[in-house]
Amino acid sequence: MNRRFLLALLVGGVLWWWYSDRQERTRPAPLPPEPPPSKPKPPEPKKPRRPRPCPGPGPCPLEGEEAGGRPAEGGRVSPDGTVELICDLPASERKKNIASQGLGCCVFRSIDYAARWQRVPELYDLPEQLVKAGIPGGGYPDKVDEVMKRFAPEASYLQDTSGDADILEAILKTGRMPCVTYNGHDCHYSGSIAHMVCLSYFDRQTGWACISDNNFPSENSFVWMSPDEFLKRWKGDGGGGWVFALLAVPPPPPPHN
Amino acid sequence: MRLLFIPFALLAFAAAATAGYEWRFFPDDKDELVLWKDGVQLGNYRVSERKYYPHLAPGVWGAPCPPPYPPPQDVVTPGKIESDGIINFGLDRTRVNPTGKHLLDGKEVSKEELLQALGQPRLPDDSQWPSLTIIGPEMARKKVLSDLRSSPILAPWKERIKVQDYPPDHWAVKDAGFVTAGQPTIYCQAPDGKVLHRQDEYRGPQALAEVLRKADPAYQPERDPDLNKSLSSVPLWVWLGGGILLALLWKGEHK
Repeated sequence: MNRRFLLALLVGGVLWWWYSDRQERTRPAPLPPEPPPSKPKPPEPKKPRRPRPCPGPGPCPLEGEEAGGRPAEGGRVSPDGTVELICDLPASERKKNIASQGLGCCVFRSIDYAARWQRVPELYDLPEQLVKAGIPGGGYPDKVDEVMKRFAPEASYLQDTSGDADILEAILKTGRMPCVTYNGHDCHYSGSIAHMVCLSYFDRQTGWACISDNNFPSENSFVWMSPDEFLKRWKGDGGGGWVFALLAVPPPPPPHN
Repeated sequence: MRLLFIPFALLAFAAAATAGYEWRFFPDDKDELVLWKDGVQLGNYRVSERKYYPHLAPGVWGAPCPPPYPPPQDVVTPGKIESDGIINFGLDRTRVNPTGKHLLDGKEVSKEELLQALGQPRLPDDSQWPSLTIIGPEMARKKVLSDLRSSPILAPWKERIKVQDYPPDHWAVKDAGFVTAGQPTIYCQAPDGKVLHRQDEYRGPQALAEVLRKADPAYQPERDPDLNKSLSSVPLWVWLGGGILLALLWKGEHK
């Protein structure tokens, strides 16, 4: 009796093992991740709500003309509340543009912002470094190459003058901060300007672009507009659609459980 | 104080007149502007100080405060008005040509190569990589960074995680919800910010590699190949049971 019970137990055990192992082996392999959906046609840019008023009771130069995604001053969130900045460098890290030997340093202040965002300390306060070194302001791609060689020879970076919006999106997709030419015509400038600012948000699918202007570095002085409106200002008045970006790693996202 | 004796008669022209606000300049003093509204002087802006002084009453000036209407940009920012009327804040327009060039570290490349710099092989499209963030005193951070660079056990992670390090008081971590008191604190986060792992001291490259292996979103243990599966996967108790069974059967036959 004892032997038969033992025998049955063992046979049962072997059968159970065989069955469970078979289940394991025949379990279908995990399916490969689904391919990303094909890029839909970008929707028409959403019309932003009325912009926040410009500082002071005086009207913005473009008051009433912002329909169709024209520039509107705002904070970290788009005027319709749908998107937030990708490159949200705190106001405490954003110094105002200065001049070196009578020429503005917008290009180098923009690089300063990108350096602070991506932590390239050699380029912090780049305009002030230029002033100290006796290098005049006024930037163009070849001069940026020279300045990078001198002040941050180890830092990798890209520059592009093709005006190709794909490159802007590729830079922002990876969380890096593009520095872009910008010709004004917004709530800060009534006419044409020659300027470089940082592009804190640009996405043709959400229909929003946002710049951080080194002439207006305060907390709520971002300028939101439609991507098309931004592209006009990026390429306008000889700016030519020039973009600079550091390749260093951007900061981590805020932690959560 | 010069502000107290403003020669109103010398005000030359209106620079901006919108909604009643009007900035006026002194022909003999480029350092000061006056803000008018409806025939009343509201205050003065001193360019060299970038400060606005409200005019409270004749001869009485308030402490500096933001002006109620923004001063003209070419005055308060380092812009230069060029011959075609464009205010230039720092571009050399003659040399910023829309040449269509793609440049990487100063060398001309194709668009594909430029995009590759944000993708493989130099800097992968790392938007879906986990972030490894080291927060602490410099020496403590350096040890981890050094191991990440040189330890063979951590080598497979070099091109698969985004590494940043910060002192505890850095803006990127101080008020962003990170614990910054570790020696160092090491975070491993998913691309959406979810904390996959946190430790408040460094436990060496072996332990860090184990953390990274477990945190790797692409890692699926069930897909590990096991070339000896046919033999090694049979549990010991099955071997023992089978042996006893055979022994009993053999014994039964011989009875």
